[in-house]
Amino acid sequence: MADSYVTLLVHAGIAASDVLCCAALGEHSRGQNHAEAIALLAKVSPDRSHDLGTLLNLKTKAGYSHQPMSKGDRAKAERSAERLMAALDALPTT
Amino acid sequence: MLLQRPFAAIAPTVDGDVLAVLARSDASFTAGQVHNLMGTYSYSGVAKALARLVAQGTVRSQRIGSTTVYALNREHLAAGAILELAGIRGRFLERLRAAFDQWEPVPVFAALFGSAARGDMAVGSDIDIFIVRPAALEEASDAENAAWSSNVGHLQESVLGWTGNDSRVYEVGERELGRDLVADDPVLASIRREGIPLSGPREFWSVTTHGRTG
Repeated sequence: MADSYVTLLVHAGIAASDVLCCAALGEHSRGQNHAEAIALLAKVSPDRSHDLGTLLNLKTKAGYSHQPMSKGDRAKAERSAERLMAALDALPTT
Repeated sequence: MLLQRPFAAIAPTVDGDVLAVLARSDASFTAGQVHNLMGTYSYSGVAKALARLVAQGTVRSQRIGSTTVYALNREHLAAGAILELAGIRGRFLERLRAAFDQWEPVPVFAALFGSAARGDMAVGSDIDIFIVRPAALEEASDAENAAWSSNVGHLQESVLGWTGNDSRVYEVGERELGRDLVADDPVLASIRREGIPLSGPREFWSVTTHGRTG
């Protein structure tokens, strides 16, 4: 259950990143290249690109590890996803 | 790039891979030996490449009895560049180690693993890096944890710049690793078996699986 929660946070963060990129750049990252996705978001916000990097590395860890996510990892995922989603608040609604 | 085939980064041909083999040592090789060391391409393809390179002067051939042996011509004007390119994998490891040395705190342990470590990368392969985060960071401030995350991010940017490859960082906390976890987890077992250490003690796995003393 805890890992599903982290997975949802990762996906929420990636989706938020895509919205931020679309809003500012007219494009979002496609495909599986993590570095390109982070570099694209960095053009919009270097700080949020670090949050995306954190989430993508947690996604990598979930893929490699057979162990449940630690409390620390859950907290990191929460903070990074929250900051990415909070960045959406600054976008115009029209 | 394919770390095990550095010449493919500029010229994905059999000639480049032949040069990579010859650049490894000062020894002379028969065409058959070069073919065996390459593990790819046909024998005739390797032989033709050697003939082309001899014609260019980058490779010297010598008849010994009924056999012809080949060696890199280290006096050739291009030899320096050839040796530089052939040594890319070693330089990549040096850069990774130098990058980790600058971190504060340094990782408890870090290693290159996966296809980049095994030498069987395919086009599009990621560079897999395993990092053990110090336990002290769990009680550290948000700023210190952000600095750690920033170091990881910069390392991944650097890897992309140096190689053109995306990277996958598998990071675990020091306290997450235990004897049973290392023994039972297949990915950790493969990292222990095949990983190339980049930071931390080479005896890291022995200490982790047999417990710390003192």
